[in-house]
This record gives sequence, C-alpha cells and structure tokens, in this order.
Amino acid sequence: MSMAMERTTLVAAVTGFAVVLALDVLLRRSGKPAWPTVSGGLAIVMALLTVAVAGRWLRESQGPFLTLYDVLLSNLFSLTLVYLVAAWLVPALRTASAIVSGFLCVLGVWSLTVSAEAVPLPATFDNPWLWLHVTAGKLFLGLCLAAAATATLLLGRRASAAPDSGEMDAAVWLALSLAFVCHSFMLIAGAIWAHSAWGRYWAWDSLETWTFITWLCIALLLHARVTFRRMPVAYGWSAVVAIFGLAILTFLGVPFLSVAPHKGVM
Amino acid sequence: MTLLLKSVASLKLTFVGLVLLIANAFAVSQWPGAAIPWLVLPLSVLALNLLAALLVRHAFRQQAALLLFHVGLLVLLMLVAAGVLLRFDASVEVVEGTAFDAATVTPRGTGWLHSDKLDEVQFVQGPLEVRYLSGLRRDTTHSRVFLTRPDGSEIERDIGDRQGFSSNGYRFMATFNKGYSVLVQWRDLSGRETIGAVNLPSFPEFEWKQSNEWITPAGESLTLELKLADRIPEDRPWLLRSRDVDYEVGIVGSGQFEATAGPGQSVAVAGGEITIVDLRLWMGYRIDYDPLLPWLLTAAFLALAALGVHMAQKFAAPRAADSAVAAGGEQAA
Repeated sequence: MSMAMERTTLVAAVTGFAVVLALDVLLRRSGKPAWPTVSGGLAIVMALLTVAVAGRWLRESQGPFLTLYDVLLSNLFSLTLVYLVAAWLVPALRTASAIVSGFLCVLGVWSLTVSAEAVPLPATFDNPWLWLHVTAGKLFLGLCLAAAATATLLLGRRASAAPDSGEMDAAVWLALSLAFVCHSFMLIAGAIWAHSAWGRYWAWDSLETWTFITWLCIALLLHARVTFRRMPVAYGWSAVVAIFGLAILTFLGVPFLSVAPHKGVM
Repeated sequence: MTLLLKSVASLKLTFVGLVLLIANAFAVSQWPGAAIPWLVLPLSVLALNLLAALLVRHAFRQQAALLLFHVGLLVLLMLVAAGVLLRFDASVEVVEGTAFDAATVTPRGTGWLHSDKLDEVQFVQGPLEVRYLSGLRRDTTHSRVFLTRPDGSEIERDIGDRQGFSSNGYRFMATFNKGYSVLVQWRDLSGRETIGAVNLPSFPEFEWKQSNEWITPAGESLTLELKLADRIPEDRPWLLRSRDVDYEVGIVGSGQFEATAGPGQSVAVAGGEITIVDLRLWMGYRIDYDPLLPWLLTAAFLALAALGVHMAQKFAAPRAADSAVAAGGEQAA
C-alpha cells in the first residue's frame, strides 16, 4: 500500500469517527437505541484502521512503534478495538460511546497533522518482550479510555442521577482495575525488554518515570477508594479522568518531547 | 505496642506514603541524577506500613491474593534495594584478538557491598562484524568471543544486539559503540619491542575524526590518524569489519613532525620507531552485575499474578470483597 493510499484510508477512518459521533448523538436525542449503529460504525472504522496499519507495516517492514504518527495510528486501532470488546463484555460502558468516538476523532485529526515518514527501527527493538510491553500498554490505555469516558459521562449526569449510574460506576472501577493489571504487566515486560536492549531494567528516563507516576496514581486512587469510603463519588470519577489525561500525556507526550534513550539506541 | 502497630498499619499512612512517593518520583523526573535518595523515605514509610498491616490487619490476611500481591511488592522493594547495594555497572572496549583486561574497565556505578570478581573473567575478543543496510542503517552485530570457563575449557559465543554472555555473574552486552583500533609496534633505541593498540573514536558515528593521541614508551606524544581509502557507501548495504580495509595512518608529533605509514611500514620518531602492524576493530561492551535479577523477575510475576487473581475475585463477588476491605480499613483506622 502506498503512503497516499494509507493517508486516504486514515482520512476515511477519521471521517468515520465523526459520522459515528454524530449518529450517536442524534440517536440518543431521539431516544432510539444507539449501540447497534455505533458499534457497527466503529467496527467499520476499525476495519479501515486495520488496512492502514497493515499496509504501513508491510510497506515499511516494521511495526508501528517509533514515531508519533506510528503511535497515534496504532493507538487509534487499539483504542477502538479495546473499547468495542470492553463495551461488548460490559454493557454499562456503551453509554459513553459518544465521548469515546469524539476522543478518537480528535486523536485521528492529530494523526493527520504529524509527519508520516517512517524512521528505521533500531536492532535492539527486535525483541518479543517489546511486543508484550506494547500490547499491555495499549490494553491499559484502551481500558483507561473506557473508564474515563464513562466517568466523564457520570460527572455530567451527576445532577440527574440516572438509574443506570450504579452499573456505570461499577464499570468504571472494573475497567480501571483491569487497566492497573495491564499497566503492571507493561512495566514488567518493559523492564525485561530494556534489560535485553540496553543492559539495564530501569534507568529513570522520562518515559519510565512518568509511566511509574501513572501507575502510582492509579494505586493511590484504588487505595483512596478503600481508605476514604465516604468520599463523594464525583471525586473518584474526576480522578479517573485525570489519570487518563496523565496517561495520554505520558504515552503521547513524554516520548516525543524528551531526548531520553527510551527512543532507542541507534 | 499493638496500638503503635495499628497506627503504622493505617491505610491513611499508605495514602500519605503514596502521595510522597508520587511527589518524589516527580522530583526524580526533574533531577534524574538523585533518584535513590529521593525515593528512600517514601519507600521506607510504605514498607513499614505494609509490614505492620501484615501483622495486625486480619481482614487483609484473609484475602490471600491481595496479601500475596502486597508481599510481592515488599519483596520486590527489598530485592531492588539489595540489588542496588550489590550491583556493578561498567563499560569496556576490547580489541579483536586481545584478551579482556579488567584494568581497562570504566565503572559507572558500584554498589557498597559489591565484591569485585571481574579480574576472574577471561575471554578473548574474536572477529567482529556489523552489517549496515543502505542509508547507513545499522542491522545486525556479530561479535565472536572465546570465553574461558572456570574449569579451563573454552567456549565460543556469537554476541549480537540482543545476545550477551555472562561470566562470574557479570553480564556483557554488546553496545552500538565500536570502532577501529590501530595495532602498533614500538621499538626503542636499544631494540626492545612492545605492541599496543590505539583505539580510535566510535565508527561510523565519528567517521570525520578518526584520530587519537598516543604517548610512546619514550614519552613522546603522537597523534595517530586513520586514513581510509574508501568512504562508506550510503546507497547500498555495507559491512563494517577489519579485514580487507585499505588504509594508511597519519602520524603527527611535536615540532611539526608529520609522516604517513601503511600496514607493515615503520616511521622513526623521537626515542624510537613505530611500526603499523594491523588494523583491528574494538567492541564496546556494557557490563552489569545483579545476582538478584532472577528473583526480582519471579517476585514481579508472582505479584502480578496475585493482583490479577485479586481483581478477578473482587469483580466476581464485588460486594463480599468490598465489605471485607472496608472492615479491614475500619480496623486499621
């Protein structure tokens, strides 16, 4: 697949997110069930993203690991997939589909503004632990998105106290807890890969430090929920949204702002 | 005593410890050089808090998976601390055809309790090859080493970007750092000969400044500059190796002395004569020693598995788990 074809497919996918968002809002306003249409739309968008990722992979003969464009493109795919699976398994997460589609649309527009030029993957990146590390990271971010989107919706609905709020609240904490497990595995797999690639398992580079801070923040929130049981529920939901913001900054900001060796020893 | 333990085991102290740890991890991100001192206090608070909780919080002990996860974290913390005390981190350059010499190692970090056994490591650096794809993209590294085992037998290993070797607990990893080394013979005025190697800067990273200073045994400072006949081809694959390289060595000394010598040629300089014997490659290795690494990995995976089981139990029976934790929290408070 040529670069032009890949970009066209990506534009179609981003447009697809916008269409799904619009349909979601319209259907919910008219009181009709939105999920069948939304999930079908997201599945079509994911198919387009699969074509874009696979085409790039085959053309460049390397996985989408290194550049901001690679990371955005692969995250559009993985976030959509993880959300669809999570919402299929936990119906309470479906209510936040418009927020998820909106976020993915913004991420898609961002991916269209950055350079799509590929950078050769360093030899040290050719390691199975990198695959596990990245997969766990994408699962973490996808689950965190599902939790944060649902928490955002709950924060917006606080005054109306909808009848399904209890299920949605439980879904938020389930998604965040699973995200915590995935994050923990991501740290371990990353340490094993780093030891193999650079001869050290931890070096406090910017990405490692901020990833550890994100893990600590989730641990803190899970602890706070047990420690301060009378804490207003909105505090917890706000914290979930803040943690997702921190995770986005960590994964999509820190690696591309710092000159840390995590970018790869050439 | 029990009252003190219950106070130390408080979930509120866990909260404070975690907030402190986050603040200090943030400080580490701003001042990375000071990582360990910044983290000792909050980690110590959390370790004490957890130890006390293990002793006095019965509800905590009733949740085996949650308990195992926290014990795993505690063990991880202790193993990391012990690893810091025992560790050794260094780098070394070894020239093709020469034996590893512990005296040439540059330490980067040595734990207080590290017992140096590096001089017992014996290996000879064999031929080295680094493949490049077109556009000077580094591909595979093949560094052959001949390792002498403790029983005196020799084993040959092919070291690459992901494949290191271990000896006496020291792990040697090939780095991207490698370059040419000029093998020179020095003959003094009385006819006594010695051979040495002058390592040049990393290649091809510093292709533009392939020179280094060398002090002769007579005390004369010379600058040796490698002059390669061919430039690196950037439009096709290329192999970095020491065989079949067409080169000369420029020799610059004091008093505007300048000469050029090819392989096998000699140049008279102050106090003796220098002969260019051969062109070799040197390989840069990173050396690390952490005998607790396998235990660290085991503890990490055990803790992770326990966390997974705890979450599965928690969400399979959310109400039961929540009430048990709440009871524990109230007891601790």
